[in-house]
Amino acid sequence: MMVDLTAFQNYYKNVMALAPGVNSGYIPYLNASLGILSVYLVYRTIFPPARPNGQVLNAQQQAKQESQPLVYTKFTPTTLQPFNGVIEERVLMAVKGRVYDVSAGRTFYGPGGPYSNFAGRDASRGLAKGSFDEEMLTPIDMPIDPLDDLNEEEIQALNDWEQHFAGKYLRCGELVEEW
Amino acid sequence: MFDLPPLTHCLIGALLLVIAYRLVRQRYPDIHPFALYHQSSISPIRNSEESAVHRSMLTPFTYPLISGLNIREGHTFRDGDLRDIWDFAKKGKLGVFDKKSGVIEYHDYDTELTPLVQTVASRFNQYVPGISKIGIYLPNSVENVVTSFAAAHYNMAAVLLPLTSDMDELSRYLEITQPELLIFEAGVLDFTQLSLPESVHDLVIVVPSIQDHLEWKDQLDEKVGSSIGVHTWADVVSTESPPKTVVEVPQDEYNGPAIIVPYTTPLGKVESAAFSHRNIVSAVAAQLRAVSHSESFKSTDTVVPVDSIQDMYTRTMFLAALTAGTRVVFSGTTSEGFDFDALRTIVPTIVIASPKSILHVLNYTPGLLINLRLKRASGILAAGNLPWPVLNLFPKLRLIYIHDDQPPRQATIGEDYDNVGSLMSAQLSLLRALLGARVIYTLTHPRIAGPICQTHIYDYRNLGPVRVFGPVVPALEAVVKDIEDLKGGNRQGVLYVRGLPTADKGWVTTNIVGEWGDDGCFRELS
Repeated sequence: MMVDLTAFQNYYKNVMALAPGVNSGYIPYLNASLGILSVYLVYRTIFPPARPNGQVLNAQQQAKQESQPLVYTKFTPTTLQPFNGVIEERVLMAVKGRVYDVSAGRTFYGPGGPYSNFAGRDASRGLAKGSFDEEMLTPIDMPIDPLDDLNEEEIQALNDWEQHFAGKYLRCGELVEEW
Repeated sequence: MFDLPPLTHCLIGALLLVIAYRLVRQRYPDIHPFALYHQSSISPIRNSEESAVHRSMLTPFTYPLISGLNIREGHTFRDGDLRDIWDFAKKGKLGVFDKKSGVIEYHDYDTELTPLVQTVASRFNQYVPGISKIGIYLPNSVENVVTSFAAAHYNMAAVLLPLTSDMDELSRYLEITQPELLIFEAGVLDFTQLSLPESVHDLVIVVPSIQDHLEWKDQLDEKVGSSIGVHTWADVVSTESPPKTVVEVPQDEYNGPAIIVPYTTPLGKVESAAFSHRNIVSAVAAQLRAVSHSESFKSTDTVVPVDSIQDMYTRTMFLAALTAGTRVVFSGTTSEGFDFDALRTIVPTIVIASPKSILHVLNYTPGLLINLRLKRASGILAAGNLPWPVLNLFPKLRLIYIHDDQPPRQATIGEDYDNVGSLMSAQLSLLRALLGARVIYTLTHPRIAGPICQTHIYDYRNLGPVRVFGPVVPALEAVVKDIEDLKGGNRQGVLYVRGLPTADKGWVTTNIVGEWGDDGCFRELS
């Protein structure tokens, strides 16, 4: 948009002549920018931008960064073992053949936690017997613990634990034999 | 500062005025953008070869999917059935627009329609003893509503025959659905080409005027032979020799099919979908819940189903409008497209239409003023608000339901479309601007009552030339499964749904290839 500014300039010269002592060399620029700003704002008020605004773009960006769902997987004792919080970031644990993602309870089940022995292992026997010792775990190369020697009290304890896990953590797979 | 020349003062004043105006007129968007980008509730775990299960935000995991109307009975709630919908409808009115006289004729439920439902059911039982299926081939009319609800009340199934003019197609539909009685409008069926299956024992003609009903009856008698009874609607509703009353089925017995809809698959095979009361009621309830209470069907609304209620989607929306006790008006047209004169007289607030019907609106004549107003409207929409209508066609229209009007599809990628049957996000945006009304665009399938997915009522985003259908309705849950190169893990594949509104149990394939967007909306891939 071209504007003939000579008329304005003459006007300012007169004004400056009337008010000597005021250093008003910036006045034309001030007026021009004020004018442009007003016109732009009027235009934007009548025609708001059709592009998505910052708030929308923010929401869009945020939605892109949502975490992806985990895949329900069949683990064997060998493939489950790395998920102890050291080799793999996630902490998994098997109870009664069901694998739970206990990463949220890292302070308990992760490295250095009181239950860290169970991370990446079948914890059923230990939970049933109320013991967190190494000898409660079935060695990796052995078949999965059938748990058929537990007494009634231990079965009850195990079921309670399982309920606790089901309520608190995500079930992300199951534990199956290797062969 | 005060030594500034007067022009600068004026400019500062003008600027302050504009800023003040903008602050005063500033509107919050109808919905927070965050909600628009979290429209689905997504399961945290998925099976391999398929995407995570997507649900409506209204029914997240650990909540049950919507199963029915939640009608309170003592201390318990029940899902209800079509008879309950009829009871709810009594709060509203049913009107038919008469094109010739230009007035809307209203019918009262208690004094007129409910006795009619009983009479019709009894008469049909008299014509065909032990009748179980009624074939309906009627436009949107009182006869259609009364007949289908007579079927619903007295344990019969209503066969909704698509209003096709191809008699061979109709013959195939009759063959697969095997109705025992066929009710149709005089002059629409060509009995020289139509072959009736052996199951049909009686024909009922709806004749426009009482005077010439005998003439029609005689004509038909000659054509169909003596083995099939012929009656007119006037015979059915006549009060002479009142028929013996049929027993109403008890409250809890609603497992049989209530509505049967035949359709043609893309391979040319004719199939039929049988919907039970449970299927229909869950779909209707989901519709009433899916839209927030303030925007949903209200008793003050005038609802016009522009398309035929023989179509299952339009029928479900019609039933939802009845359930909410709205005033439903039939525009009295059988042809496709908006009848602008009729709609101007009816003054609808909610319209249920197909893309073909609203094509006339989208084919507006552009002009300088209209273009400028559209530019302004698109900006207002982008800010998340609804603009004033650009075309002043329907002054009170506030909501349009549009369904994707594609024939049932085959699961192939990059299928060709006729552009008439479905709308892009950009076209929907244009429609919002042109009519100043909210638009809900839905994805439908012949084996599912009501829609599968529908766009959020406040979602005005213009996503360009893509078909976006929004999240799944609260009565269903959905996944996409691997097909060819598309991986469910990337949220792309064939859409499968599960829930009560489906005519089949378990996961139902829809043969629709699409993907879940970051925003939780289902969009078609092409």
